[in-house]
Amino acid sequence: MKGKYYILIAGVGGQGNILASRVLATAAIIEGYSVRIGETYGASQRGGSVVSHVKIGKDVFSPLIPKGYADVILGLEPLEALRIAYNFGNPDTVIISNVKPVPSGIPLDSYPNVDSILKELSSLSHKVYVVNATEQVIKTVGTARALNIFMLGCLCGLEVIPLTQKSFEEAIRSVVPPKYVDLNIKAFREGVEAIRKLAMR
Amino acid sequence: MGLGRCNHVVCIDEPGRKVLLMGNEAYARGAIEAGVKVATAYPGTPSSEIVGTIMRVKDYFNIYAEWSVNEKVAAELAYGASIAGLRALTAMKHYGLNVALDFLTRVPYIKTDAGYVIISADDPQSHSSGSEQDSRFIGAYVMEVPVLEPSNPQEAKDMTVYSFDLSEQFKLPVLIRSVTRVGHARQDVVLGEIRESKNVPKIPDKHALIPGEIGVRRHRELHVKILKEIEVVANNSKLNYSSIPKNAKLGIITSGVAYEYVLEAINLLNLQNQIAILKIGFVNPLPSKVVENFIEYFNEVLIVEEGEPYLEVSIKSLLFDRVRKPVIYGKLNDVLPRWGELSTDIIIDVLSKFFGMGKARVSTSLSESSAPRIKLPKRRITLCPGCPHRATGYALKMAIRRVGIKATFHGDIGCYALVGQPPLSLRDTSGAMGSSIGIACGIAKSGVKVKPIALIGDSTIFHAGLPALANIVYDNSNVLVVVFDNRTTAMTGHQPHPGTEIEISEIAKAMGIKYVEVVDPYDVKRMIEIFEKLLRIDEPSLVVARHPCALVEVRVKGVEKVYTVNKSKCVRCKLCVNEFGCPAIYLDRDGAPTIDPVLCIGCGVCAQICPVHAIEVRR
Repeated sequence: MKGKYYILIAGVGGQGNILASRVLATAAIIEGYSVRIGETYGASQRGGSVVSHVKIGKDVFSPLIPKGYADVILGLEPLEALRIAYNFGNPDTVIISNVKPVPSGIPLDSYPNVDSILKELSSLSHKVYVVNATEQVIKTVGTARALNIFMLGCLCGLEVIPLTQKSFEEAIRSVVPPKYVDLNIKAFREGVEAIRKLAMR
Repeated sequence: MGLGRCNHVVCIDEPGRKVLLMGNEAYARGAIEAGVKVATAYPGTPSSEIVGTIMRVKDYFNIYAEWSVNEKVAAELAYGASIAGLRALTAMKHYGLNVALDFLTRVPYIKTDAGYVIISADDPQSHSSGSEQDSRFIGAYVMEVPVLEPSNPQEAKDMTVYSFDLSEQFKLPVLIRSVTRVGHARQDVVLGEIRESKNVPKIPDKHALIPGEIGVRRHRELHVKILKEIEVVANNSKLNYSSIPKNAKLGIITSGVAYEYVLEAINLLNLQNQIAILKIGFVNPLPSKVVENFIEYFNEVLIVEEGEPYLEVSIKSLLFDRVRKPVIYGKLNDVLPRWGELSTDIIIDVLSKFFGMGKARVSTSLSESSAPRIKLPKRRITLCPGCPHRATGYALKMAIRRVGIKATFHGDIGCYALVGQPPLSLRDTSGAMGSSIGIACGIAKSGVKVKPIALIGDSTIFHAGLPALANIVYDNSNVLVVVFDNRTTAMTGHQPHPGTEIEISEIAKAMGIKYVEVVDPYDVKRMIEIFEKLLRIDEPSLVVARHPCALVEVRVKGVEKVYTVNKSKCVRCKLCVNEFGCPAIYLDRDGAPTIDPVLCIGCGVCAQICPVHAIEVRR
């Protein structure tokens, strides 16, 4: 087992990056790891590109992941997943990306074709998982706001980092406001199931 | 503890427990552990969550916390509490330190009493600021007070606790220099004991300045006695530590978050046995003995620090008179950049060059190894869907076209600065908080044939706009002031401000501005008419464009209706995307404007501006 896990959560301001990174890091602390997170606050939260750097391990230093060192990229949005993959990915990086684009802040007509983004991702890494996450989370829990936790479910279900589903769910209970816990646990479990089905294919 | 229960993570009273804390929460927790009783701030990224966190738990710990009108008032209030015997904290972003500095430079002369701690959050890389600044120089050379520099959230908490004791011992303020990558980082932080404050409020002793000899005497005392004593403390402080492997070839002196990048780079390059590190936490007074002892071992020393070459200048001065001294590399000889923020990548590059490792990277990013095949458009930050500021900006732009005059747009600091982004593009100048009105004043006085328009927010005008507002009346400047009043300090997380208690239009009238209007920007027609009227006047005038922040309104009221484009009526003029630019409106594959029902909040402004009434409530 590796000693360190470097995970990047890429998305657009408002998609819930920060909550996702807090849940992930809390799950890691529950299992006795040290953690570091570096992320984007302030103006970028108004619809700009955002990324959370999450480092988990026995000894982890600095809040940022060096270029090319990502173990996992969790893309809440495909263009942002590709942006982060170019900068931080390597051929062994596991990439889990949502398929649904968020065009906010992109000049008219310049959002690249989604299929070409996904094709490019697959050419960069041989471990790419594309999830129809926005659609599935709306269908199963009724709101796209739980997309971030659904995607964490995908990360957990793929078993590429050594954190158990139990720890994740305990983390969700401790981080998410009480009235949204049930909804997020459901979204998380849907994410776990979705990625397992995808990985089996 | 205080009354009732507290579910916030900073309330957990279990010394030794590890919890996930943001650096700014860790500063707050440190102040709480030290028994802080008063905490003040004006919000500013990357500092807002420090007092923001205390604000959420103030009743539980019986702390007086407030969002003051600006950083100077915040610093003064906290100082008043300190001399009245209560431990006090004030926190600000780097610009805020400049605002408070006029007062803070006097504080070492008039002395503090109970612990008085200032946290200044620098923003290397200008993530949320217009420029970069290193507060350590201000603390060390302008304020002449102890300066501490944490490198991660754990140290942020621990150094805050210690700062209160240090301040109280020497009756001086202590400045903590934070940066974005400490305040906005998160880490598992080991909690300490929450100390009950033993301090009780008292009527303060005299703390007054008199021009002349007494000030000089105090300045001398600071240098010959107090700062010397603190230097002894610094030389024995556990906040500085070193690791010196036996065969180390290179010595690195580092501080703050740069220390973390250095550690990571050394680990990735496997240079643990070849590099010695001196990590300095107590950055002013410089722990001179510690530095001198460390450099004895090396012919070459690299200084790695975030921001300006503060340690480097200090250490080079310290060593100047010595006969034997190492070669020092750093920012002064361009080994490291003096601008932007550092990263592990930058340190890896410097170290691999130093050790002749060539391209020593374990991993290379994909964009370096092969050219990206897809061009990735940059995401512009933008005003939110339904933001009233967009409606105000649109109305102003249209009114100017109708009147047919040339105008200059003088922006200020806040969400409304985004009216400077296309398609509104209303921003010719910007400066500090409140500078919009002052700069506009100068344009008016230059005699050039243009209408200067100052665009300022409802929080900003109280922070630093009111003196300039008085100035445009006093010197009768032909300035139109537009107050973007969304009832909150939105950009930094919706902190309150005096504008909900004090009517801005009444202030303007009381100052003698004859043309004052208050309008709801969601009423576009009226907004345009009022702008048209005021643009034709060659005297000071002021419009309060008032509508609550859309984010707050949606949170309170929810979304009652959303709009849609009736494509049979739409003539594809694209006014709504090319001139207005709400992010909820996009062009479909056929080039027809379309409204995203998830993003639309139902403000209805686009329906008002559509020339053919093609935008309708969605049924």
